[in-house]
Amino acid sequence: MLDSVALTDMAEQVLQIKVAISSRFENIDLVDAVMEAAMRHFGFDEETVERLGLAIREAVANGVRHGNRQEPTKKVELTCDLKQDVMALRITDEGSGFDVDAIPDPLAADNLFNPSGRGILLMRAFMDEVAFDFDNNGGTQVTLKKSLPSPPSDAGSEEDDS
Amino acid sequence: MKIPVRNRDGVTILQPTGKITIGIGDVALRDAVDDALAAGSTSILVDFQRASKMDSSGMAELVAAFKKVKESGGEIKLLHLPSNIRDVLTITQISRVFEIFDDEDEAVASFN
Repeated sequence: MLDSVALTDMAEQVLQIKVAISSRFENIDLVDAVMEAAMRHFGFDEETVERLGLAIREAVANGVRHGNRQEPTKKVELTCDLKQDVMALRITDEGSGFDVDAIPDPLAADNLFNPSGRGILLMRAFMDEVAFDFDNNGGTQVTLKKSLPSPPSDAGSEEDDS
Repeated sequence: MKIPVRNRDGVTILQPTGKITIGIGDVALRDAVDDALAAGSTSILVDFQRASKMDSSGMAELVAAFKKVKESGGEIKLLHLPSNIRDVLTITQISRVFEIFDDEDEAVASFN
């Protein structure tokens, strides 16, 4: 069940998208669909949409599985803010948080068969910035940031390196 | 979701369709590999031609499958990886443990 999708054009060059889902795996596809469409609208090429979509999917999936432990009454919320030339996402859950430093490095030889750690690796590989914050009252907030691609008309500016 | 299975020259070919992601596609992959092992197959080829994307849950099932098949004395190999899935398997270095093929004849022949 998709609880809400809000697309608000708040002011020139400022856009906010909010999506809230109950904590079921099948709802992750809905967030993915909304954000992939939004990122195409923002001008990201298909390969980048695919990569960023996966990073977002991983953050939302962590909230559903590890944060909210698939309790349908708990929500995972995504807020996407477009400000100037940056797409900034916040993904929050209602879980009890975790120790980021305790997540094993999935690239270490001994961890190849360890199931965890790859989601955060992919977020860090595809986004410019990844941060985890933990609310004292419970809940994890993941912040993901990515520079927007340069507009085609802006030929003199630097190419986006994504 | 059940993954289509066919057999060619003693090789069990699994062909997952769509998303190999958390909750559905990852479980289907696990079940298909478990079924193949239970049926006595030791040569398993996963054909990704119809797969659209894979997340970390799908990757966890893929490395778990590698381990299970190896422990059963068999081999599991990958075929027709779409560029986006190849991309994430490279980043996570999972591609280093698998033999990966673009040609089915070559992949099937490699088991013999």
